[in-house]
Amino acid sequence: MYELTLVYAFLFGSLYLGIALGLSIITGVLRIFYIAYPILFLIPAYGTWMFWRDLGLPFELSIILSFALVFALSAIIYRFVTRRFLEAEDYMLAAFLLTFLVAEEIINLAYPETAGVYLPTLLFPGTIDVGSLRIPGQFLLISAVSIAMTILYIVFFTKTKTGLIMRAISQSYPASRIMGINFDSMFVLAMIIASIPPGVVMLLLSPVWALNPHIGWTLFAYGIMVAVLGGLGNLKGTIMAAYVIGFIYSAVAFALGQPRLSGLVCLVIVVVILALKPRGLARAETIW
Amino acid sequence: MVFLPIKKFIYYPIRKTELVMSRGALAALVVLIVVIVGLGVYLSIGRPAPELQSVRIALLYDPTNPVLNAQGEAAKLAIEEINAGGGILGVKVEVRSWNTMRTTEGALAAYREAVVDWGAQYVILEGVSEEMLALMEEGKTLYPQYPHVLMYCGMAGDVTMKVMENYDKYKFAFRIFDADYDANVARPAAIFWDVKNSLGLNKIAILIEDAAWTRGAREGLRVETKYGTIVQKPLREIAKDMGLEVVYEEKIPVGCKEFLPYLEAAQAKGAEYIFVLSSWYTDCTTLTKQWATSTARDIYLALYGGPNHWMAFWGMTGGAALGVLSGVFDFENYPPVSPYTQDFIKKMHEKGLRVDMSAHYYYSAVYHIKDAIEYVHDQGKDPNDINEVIKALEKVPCREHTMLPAEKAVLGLKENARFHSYPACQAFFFQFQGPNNVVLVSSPDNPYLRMQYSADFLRQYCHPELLKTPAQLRGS
Repeated sequence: MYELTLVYAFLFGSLYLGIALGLSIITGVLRIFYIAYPILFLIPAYGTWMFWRDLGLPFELSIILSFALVFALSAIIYRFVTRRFLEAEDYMLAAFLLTFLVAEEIINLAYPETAGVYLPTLLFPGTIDVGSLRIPGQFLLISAVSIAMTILYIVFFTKTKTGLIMRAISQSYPASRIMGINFDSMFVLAMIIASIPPGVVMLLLSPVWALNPHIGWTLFAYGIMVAVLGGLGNLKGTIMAAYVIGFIYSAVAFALGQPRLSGLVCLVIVVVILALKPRGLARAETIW
Repeated sequence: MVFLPIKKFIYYPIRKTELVMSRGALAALVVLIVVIVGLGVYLSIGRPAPELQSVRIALLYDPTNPVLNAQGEAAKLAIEEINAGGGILGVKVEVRSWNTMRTTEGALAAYREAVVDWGAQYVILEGVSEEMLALMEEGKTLYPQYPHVLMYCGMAGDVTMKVMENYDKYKFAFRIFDADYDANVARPAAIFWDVKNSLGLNKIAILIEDAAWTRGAREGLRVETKYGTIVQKPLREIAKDMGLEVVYEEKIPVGCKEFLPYLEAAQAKGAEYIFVLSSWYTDCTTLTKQWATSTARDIYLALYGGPNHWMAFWGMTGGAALGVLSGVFDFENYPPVSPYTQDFIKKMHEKGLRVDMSAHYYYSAVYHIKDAIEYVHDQGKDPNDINEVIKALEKVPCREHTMLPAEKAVLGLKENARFHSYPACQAFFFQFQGPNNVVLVSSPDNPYLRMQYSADFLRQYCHPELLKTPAQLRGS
């Protein structure tokens, strides 16, 4: 049972990391709490379905077009919401929330649950044997992709010029402004690159999670828990928090044999940690 | 006023206790008696029954949710049909809908508006039990001034218990669904019988949605009522009585997304059959998808309530439902348990709506109202008198019920807390074997089904020999 606990701690932790990655990037670079984040799960999934099933395009092309749609939407949201209300956070949060609700309702209208939307992204049906353990293949794939995306982003933020500029922004707005950084283009770029992980995770997750117009909010809740525990906007903290939560969930479910209590125990421990470390595990205000 | 001059005219003169009457007075008295008796006879017998003035049905539901919308639309379909056929006693049924947003506050506001402002005589609520219980409390104060009937299709036994314990206050409330005892015991018992006797399995895992309606299934119940003691065994005991070994039992929290720990545990304990006492609050889609990719995927998975009632469940799971066992009520070739069953499903599909078990009950409820009103009228009583309609609802069966044979579609049984509820609908169990392909795999020898259907009927529609293991289906 202990091997199973560790395996599932890894699987759940990686999943939570993939879910929270984009939120951490947006929060880290733009220093805003992006309540419209659930859109980033919904548009790639339902966009793919729309291009594929309604417009009859090839599946792979539909995925690409759905991401193009997400990028365009991210830029539009930045232009008309984020930039406009950057100095008025309450208005911005309300606008984000409304944007998400409108998108969710449109999707619910076009593709209600009864429409039976699904995506053929089950790449590993069944289980994969690892030693004496049998692991659900699709979850293993999601874990691998989540980790790969995280590594790519770390490399991006530590090794590329654009990444370094974004880190500079996340460390100090005024200083970066003095250095002549083009905020608008950096912010738009941050929103676009942050929109990739939730979309990818959603596409891979849909064969093992229900896909319905309201799933974005559920995933967002996981993302918030991880991002807040990690220290909003810090990737190191997000990685730590994802695996801490994954381990707690798995330990309660498998080692203690109490899956009914897993969610509650996670929340209680997150609250306790935040009471002791109010700024999260990383205690840092920069993205890396 | 009438008697004073008559008395004066007839009784004269009065001497001691002796009465003396003139011939004229006697004749007048006879005429008067004849007139009074004639009037009485006319009023009680000869006069035609009062005409039905109006029938106003208020539908309280959330149309933005596809599940709930289908249930509201099912009731509307029945009303459309009744009106197309000339209405009830020649009166067209009026209908208005309110969006409750599936909140208690929303339901209460809609309920008051429907009954007080619009004058609804019949209110059909689609909502959770908490909403119904709140509406009943409001309704007991509204009822004396605004007599009406309140119906809902849900699982809270408290609704029935309130009516049983305090009939005068809550007699207006009906639960147009199976009584708890039947839903939590009789139907699972039929499933367990099949597991043991038809599938020949021994080890079962039981997962129970952790919600108020499953309390009896989890812990058992013992309730004292004025009609006797109601005892309900928990599911594990029912399974054991059936000769099954319960190797794993766990509660599933509402909103759960991580089912792998439950499935892993069931597999590790050697379960051969996983029974999930679910409703719409359990994410059966995610559960099924995770089952299909987990180590437990070779174990039979049986789901109780939820989207698995729809044929669309196949698409919703992207085919992961292959091999899943469930009641399916959205299937146009559903065994014709009544002459109306298949027709109703077909009409709903023509409207682009899916049919779950509750949709059948909402549709049938409207017809039950019609039957009751007509019964009151046929008895020569006032069909506008809601008290009379309530008594009729307790007495007359719903002839047009789509899930229950007419003789079973009654709301007046007082034993086993069935009062103002229907007795168990012994639903058939299907297996998803492909897109738009479900196979009825219940056993025709199942004694629980035999209580409701004839042996010939069961032999015609039940084909347990077509059941395949999930592994066989994946391989085929």
